Amino acid sequence: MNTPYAWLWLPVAAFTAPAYATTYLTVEQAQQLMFPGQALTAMPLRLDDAQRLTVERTSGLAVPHLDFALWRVGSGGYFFVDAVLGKHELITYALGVNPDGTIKDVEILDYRESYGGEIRNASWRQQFVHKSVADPLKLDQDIRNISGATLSSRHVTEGVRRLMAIHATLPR
Amino acid sequence: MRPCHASLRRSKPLLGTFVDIAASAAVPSEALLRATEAAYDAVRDIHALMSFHEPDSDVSRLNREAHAGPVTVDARTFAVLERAERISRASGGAFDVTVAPHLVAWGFLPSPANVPLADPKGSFEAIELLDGHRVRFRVPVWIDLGGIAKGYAIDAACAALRHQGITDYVVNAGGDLAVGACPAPVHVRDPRHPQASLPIGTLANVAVATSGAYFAARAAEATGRHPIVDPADSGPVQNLGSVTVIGPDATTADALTKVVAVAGDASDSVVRAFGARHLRLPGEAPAVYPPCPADVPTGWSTAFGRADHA
Repeated sequence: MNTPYAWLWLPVAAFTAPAYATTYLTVEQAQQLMFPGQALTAMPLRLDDAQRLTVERTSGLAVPHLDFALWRVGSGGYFFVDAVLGKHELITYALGVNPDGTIKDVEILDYRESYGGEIRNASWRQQFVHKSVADPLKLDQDIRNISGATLSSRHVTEGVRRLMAIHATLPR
Repeated sequence: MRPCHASLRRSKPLLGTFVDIAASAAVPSEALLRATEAAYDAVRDIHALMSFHEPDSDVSRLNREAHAGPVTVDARTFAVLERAERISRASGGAFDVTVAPHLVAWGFLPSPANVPLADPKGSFEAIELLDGHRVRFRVPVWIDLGGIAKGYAIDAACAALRHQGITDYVVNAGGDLAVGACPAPVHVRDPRHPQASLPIGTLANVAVATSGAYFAARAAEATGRHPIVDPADSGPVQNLGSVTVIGPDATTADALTKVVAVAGDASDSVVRAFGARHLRLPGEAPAVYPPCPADVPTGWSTAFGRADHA
C-alpha cells in the first residue's frame, strides 16, 4: 500500500469480522488498464469548505470526508481511488475520467462485507478464522462462489457521481 | 483434476449490481485483461439492448412501437425473447416477460415514457416472433427482460471469454453465476441469514441462479412486496424464501428461478425438461438450520455428467 490512499482503510475499524471479502485489481493494474502507457502523477486532494458545499450541491450527496486519492494522467484526464461504506459493505473502487470530462471506466478494487452477529454456518465461518482485514484473500483459497449473494451497486454509483462533481471543480 | 486457481479477478458495477469475473489461463496477464474486457463489453451490450430504463434499448423500442407493427431487434434480444417464449410455454405461463405493468405499479420499475397503456389481458402470447429478428405485439404489452437478461449477459460474458481461448472462469453477476471448465465450489446464500451459506457442490460447466425475497429487501421495506409476480393472479409471490436453479446455461437458470418461485415444486418436471435442477430454501427462520442435503452435490454433478470433477 502506498501512502496516498492509506486512509482508505480507516473505516474498516467499524467492522467486526468480515463475512465476505474479495480483492480484485491493484491500483497500479487499474491505472494501466484505463490509461495504458501513460504516466500518472499522484496529487492528493483535500476539499476546502467551499468546494465541499459545491460538490454536495451539484451531486446531491453528502461528502463524508475531505481527502481524496487522485492522480493526474499525462495526456490529460484523472484517476480517482475512493471507498464507499454501505450498511454491510465497504467497497474500494477506481474511477478513470477522460480528458474531455467523460467517465472512462469504473473498476472495483476491493469488496468487504460484514453482517456482524452470529455466524451460523461453521464451515462458512471457518474460512475467516485467523484472517484479518489486511490479509489478501484469493478465489478458491479463501472465498466461495455464492449464488444469491445479490449486491447492490447503488453506493458505488453514488460514489462515482460524487467524484464526478469533484472532478468538475478540478482544472482541465 | 488439474489445479486451476484464478489468476485474474475483476469486478465492475454493471446491471445494477457487481459483475465479478475470475479467469485463469496459461497466458500473459495482459491477455487475461483483454479477454475480461471483451467479456465486460458483452455485458454492457446486453444491458444497452435489454434495459427497461434506457429509452434507446430494444426493449423500450418494442414497448413503444411493436403493437403498431413489426420492430427489428438485435439478434441477441431476439434470442432472449425466443428462450423466454419456450420457458413461458413449457411452464404454462409461470414465466412471463409481460408482467412489467405490475412491477411499474409497485414501483420496482419506472413508468416508461411514450408507451401505450398495456392491455391488462396481455400475456407472453401477445408477442409474435417473426423472421429477420422482427417482433410484433398483437396487443399493447410492456415487456421487461429483468427475469432473464442477467442470465443471458452472464452467458454472453462466458462466450466472450471462450472466444478469447479462456475456458477456466467464474462469472458472477449479482449472485447468478456460471462456472467454466474448471470445477469450483459453489454456495447458496441463506435467504434469512445473509451471513451464512450452504455449500451445494463443486461444479463445472454449469450455471447457478438464485432469486429470493431478500434480494429486494430494500424495495420490500418500502412496499411490503418483492418483485416476483405470479402471472396467474398478478400478485407478488408470497413466502418466497429463495429459489436456486442449477442448469446448463445462465439464461435458462435465471428464468427458471421465477418458474419455481411461482409454481413451487410442481414445476420440477419443467425444470428437469431444461436439463436443470432446483433447490428451495425457506423464507421463515427455520427452527433448525437446514443441513446441506448430502446427496445434492453428487446428484447434480452426475446429472450433468461431471461426477468425475467432484
